[in-house]
Amino acid sequence: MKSVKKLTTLALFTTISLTIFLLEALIPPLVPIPGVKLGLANIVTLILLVKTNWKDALLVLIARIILGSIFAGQMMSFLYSIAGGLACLLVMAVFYRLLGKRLLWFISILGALAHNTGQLLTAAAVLGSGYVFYYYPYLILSGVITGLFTGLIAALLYPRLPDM
Amino acid sequence: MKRTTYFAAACALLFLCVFSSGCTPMRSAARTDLLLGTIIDITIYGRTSQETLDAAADAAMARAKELEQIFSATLEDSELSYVNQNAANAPVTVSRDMYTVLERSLYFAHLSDGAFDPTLGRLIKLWGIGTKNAAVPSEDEIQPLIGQKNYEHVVLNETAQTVSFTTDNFELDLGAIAKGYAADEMKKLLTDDYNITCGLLNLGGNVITIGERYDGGPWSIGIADLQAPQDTANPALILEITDETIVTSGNYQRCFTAPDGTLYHHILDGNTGFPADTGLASVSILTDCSMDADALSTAAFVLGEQKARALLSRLDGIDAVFIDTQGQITTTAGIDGR
Amino acid sequence: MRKKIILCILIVCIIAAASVAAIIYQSHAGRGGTIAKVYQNGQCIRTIDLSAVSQPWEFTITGADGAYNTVRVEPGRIAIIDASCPDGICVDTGYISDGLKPITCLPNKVIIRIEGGPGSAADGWSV
Repeated sequence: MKSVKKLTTLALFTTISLTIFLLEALIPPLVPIPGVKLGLANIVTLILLVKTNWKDALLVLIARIILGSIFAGQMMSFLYSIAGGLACLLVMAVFYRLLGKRLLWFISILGALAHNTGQLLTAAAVLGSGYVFYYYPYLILSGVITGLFTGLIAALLYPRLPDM
Repeated sequence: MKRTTYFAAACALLFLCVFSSGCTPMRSAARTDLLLGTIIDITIYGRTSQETLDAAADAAMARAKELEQIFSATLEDSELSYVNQNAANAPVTVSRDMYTVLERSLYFAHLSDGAFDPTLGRLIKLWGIGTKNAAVPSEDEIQPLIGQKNYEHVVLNETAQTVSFTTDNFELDLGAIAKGYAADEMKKLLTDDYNITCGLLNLGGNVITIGERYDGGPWSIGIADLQAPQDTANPALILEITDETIVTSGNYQRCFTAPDGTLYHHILDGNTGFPADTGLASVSILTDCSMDADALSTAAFVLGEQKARALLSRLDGIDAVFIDTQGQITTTAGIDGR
Repeated sequence: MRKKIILCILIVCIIAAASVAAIIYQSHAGRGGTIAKVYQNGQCIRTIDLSAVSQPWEFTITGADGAYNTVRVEPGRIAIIDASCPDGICVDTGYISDGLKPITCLPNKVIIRIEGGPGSAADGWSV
C-alpha cells in the first residue's frame, strides 16, 4: 500500500472512530455503574484488524484515545481509556490470529472483557484500593453484551468495505 | 522498517508513562469522631505519603475539638458558657473564632429578621430536644422567651474583640452555625497547611468538599429522603458539587414524640417558641461557605419556602433545595441541571 | 468450524452466567449493609459483620474513669444494653439494624453505626 493512501485511510478511520466515541459520550449512561458503556468505537478497531493489521489498529486506537481525551475528558479518562484500549487490542489481535474472522463476535467479546479488566485494574492502582472490584461482575456482564453487539456490527460491516 | 521501530519506541514510551503515573497510588485517610454534638467524618485523598495524610486528618479533627471547646452549649467550661455567664455584666474579650461566628450570626439574624436567631439558648434548653429530658414546655415557661429579638441586645466591639449583652434575660446558642464554621475551618486547615486538594468532610449532614473527587469528577451528595433520612440506597435527590458545601436542616434530624403522639423537632422559631412549622421537611443550601449555608438553612426552614426564596434571591451564589412535608421537591434555578 | 462456534457460545454463556451469579451473590451479601463499626474516641475499635452472627454475644467497651458501654450483638442487629453514662441515650436508642440511625454515646465517646458498603448511591449525605 502506498503510504499517502495509507495515511489518508488511517486518518479517515481515526476520524470515524473519534466521531463515534464522542457521540457515544453524549448518550446518558444506561445503568448507574461507572465504566459500563457500549464501546462502539471498538467496531473500527475490529474492522482494521480484519482489513489491515494490528499495527494500523493500534495507531488509530492511540490517536483516537489521545484526541478523545483532549476533546471530551480529563487526564484521568485518558489513563483509563489507554489501559482498557491496549488490553482490548492485545487480546483481540492474539485471538484473531488464532480463530480468524469467522468468530469475530467472540473475539469482540473477549476484547470487551479485556478492556473492562484493564480499566478496573487501572482504577484499582490509581485509587490504591481493591474496593472497585465490587463492580467487576457487572462489567463482565456488560462486556459480554456490548462486545457481542459491536462484534456483530463489525462482522456485518467489513465484507461491504473495499480492500485496503 | 525504520518506521516500525519508531512506532514501537513511541508505544513503549506511552506505556511507561501510563504505568509510572498509575503506580503512585491515591492514598486516603479517614477519621470518625463524636464532636460538636454530632458525628464528624473526615476522608481525604492524596498522592502523598500516608503519614502526611494521617497528620492532616488528625490536625483537622483536633481543630474540631478545639472549636467544640469554644462553641459547646453543654460543656460548662466552654467559651460560650463563659460568655453567657459574664457578657451581661461587662464586655468579655473573646477568641477570634468566637468573634467571627458572632459577627456573622448577627448579620444573618438581622438579614432574616430573627428567623435565624443565635440568642435562643434558654428556649433550646427549655425544650431539651436531643437530650433525655425533652418535653413540651408549658405556655408560662415559653411566654417570656419568645418574640424578644435578643440578638439586638448583643453588642460587638471590633477593636477590642469583645462582646457584651445589654440585657441579662437571654443566652447565646450557636448550634445552628458553629458546625458550618467548623467545616470551613477544617477545610481551610487541610488546604492551607497540608496542601490537601481532595476530600470530603461530613459534620452530621453538614457536608463540605475539597476540590474534585479523587477520579476528577464531581462529588455526588445525596439529600436525604424524609421517609428514610439515612437510607443510602434511596436519596431524595443527588447533587454533584465540586469544592462546595451542602448543609441541610431537616425536621427528622433531632426530634422527639410527645405522649400525645405529636412530633417535635429541633428547629425552634423564636417568634412562637415552638418548632417551626412552615410545611417544610427540609431545606438544603448549596454554596461555598459552610457557615453561611448552616445559618441560611435554618433561617430558610423557619421562614418557609416563599419567604426563604425572597431572602435567598437577595444573596449571590446561594442555591437551595426545599422538600415539603409531602415529599415534594422544589429547587432554585441554579440547581437545575446538576 | 461448527464445533468451534458451539464451544465459543458455551464459553460466553458460562462467563455471563458466572457474572450473573456473582451479582446475585453480592446483592444478597451486601444488601442494606450489615457491617457494624464501633468507634471509641474516634478510633474504629471493632468491625462486626452482623449478617454472619449466629449466636448472640456481648462485649464491653471500657473507657477512662470506669466508663463502660455493654454492647449486645444479635443476628442482623446491635445495641448498647448497659452503660455508665448519665443520660443513657445510647441505651434508649435500642437495637439498630440499618444505616438509618447510629447509636451515639456522647459522654463516653462511643459510636456504633452500620455502614453501607459500595452499594451507596452517593459519596456523602446531607441529612
